[in-house]
Amino acid sequence: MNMENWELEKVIISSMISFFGGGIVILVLFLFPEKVEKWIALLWKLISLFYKEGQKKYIAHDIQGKVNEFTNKKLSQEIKNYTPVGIEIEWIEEGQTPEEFFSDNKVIIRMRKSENQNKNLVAASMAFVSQSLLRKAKKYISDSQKESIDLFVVNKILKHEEPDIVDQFIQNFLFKMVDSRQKISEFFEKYNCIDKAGLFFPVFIQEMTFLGEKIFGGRKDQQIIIEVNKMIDFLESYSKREIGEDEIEKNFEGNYCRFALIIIAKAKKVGIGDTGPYTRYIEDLIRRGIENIYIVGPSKAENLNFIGRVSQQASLDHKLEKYNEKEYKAYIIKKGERIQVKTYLLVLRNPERQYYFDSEDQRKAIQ
Amino acid sequence: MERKKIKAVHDFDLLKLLGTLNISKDVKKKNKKCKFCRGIVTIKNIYALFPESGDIKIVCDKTECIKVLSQYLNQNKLCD
Repeated sequence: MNMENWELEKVIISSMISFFGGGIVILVLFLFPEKVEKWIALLWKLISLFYKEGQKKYIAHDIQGKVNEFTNKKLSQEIKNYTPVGIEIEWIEEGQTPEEFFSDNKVIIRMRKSENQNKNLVAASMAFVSQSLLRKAKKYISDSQKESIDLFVVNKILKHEEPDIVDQFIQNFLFKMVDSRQKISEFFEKYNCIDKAGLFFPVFIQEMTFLGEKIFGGRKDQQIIIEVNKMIDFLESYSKREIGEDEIEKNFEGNYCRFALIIIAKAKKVGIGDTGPYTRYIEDLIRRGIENIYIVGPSKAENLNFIGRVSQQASLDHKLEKYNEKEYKAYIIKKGERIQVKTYLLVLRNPERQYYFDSEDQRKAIQ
Repeated sequence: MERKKIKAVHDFDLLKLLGTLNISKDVKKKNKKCKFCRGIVTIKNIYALFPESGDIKIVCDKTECIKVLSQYLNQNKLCD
């Protein structure tokens, strides 16, 4: 089914509903299109009991509703400036010639009968994530880095939409692999740890997005691959820190990725209210060429107010751009146990960041 | 929201598609091999199809082959 058909279908359904006096429902249709698509999928599932072709409608709407809800809700909220890209299942129709359906050189994925809808969801999600996530950055990273990121994001889609099949997915795609795939499992475990601390999408994927935006052309450079490995290790070790552990490295000063994590959480410091130590620290970071500053702290009124003052002062002093802010649940470690904490994250960006237009720039960067 | 099209064939239409591509006999006679693992392809284990060098390549549904296909897609070999 193509985009026009889906748009037409939406209009027809909206008109039918409005005919029966459902103005509010129309509003819901346009405000929560993914939810509505899931309801339409259920309707088609029912229809498919009597009408065989309804299966295709059910399969397509069900996958679209689930994957698009994840991309629209999760990815666009967690990654700033992420242009959400949704999925659309386009069936090969009867009467099409091979030239027509292979005209764009694309792969055709087999969808099984609706009894195997979980397999269909995995197949479509794998194809979709491979082709849509981090398109730019993936040109510069290794196969195992790419593959592990894709698997982790598909795992997140499944966890969000079909948690019952996650174990099977992990068994099949991670643990049943031969030894050469061990690297992917290792990355996956690291992402899991980073994600528990709430840093996978808003910091790691965000930094990967920045990386893709700042390198132009050029070949895959081993230096970038090594740096991404180091960044993963850095974020993993940061995610494993215990509350109050100050000795840990807080800045990642690579050649391509340069960012710092600042925790503002100590009640005593916040209570005193002096922003000076933090603004001076930020000044030092800027002097060292740090491009992105992630300020993290408990999402409590007093703390939020203090972070706001720090960021306002730093922005004034160094023309930093307030790039993103969000609240989320992080699982941080206290006395060896992970506890859930409502957390606030603020991202500040230095407008004077380095871009790498060609291999000469890249050589300079790694000297 | 922009939507990325994923082309799909349903089980109901798979045989017809193989017929249109003139490969249904080869698949039924087990003369077709998976692009990646070189294992025999049957109607039951087809996972994906794509054109390459004037031929139609088939990928079987082994987990390893699904992952290799994802890498292929990652390398932009089969997408826009």
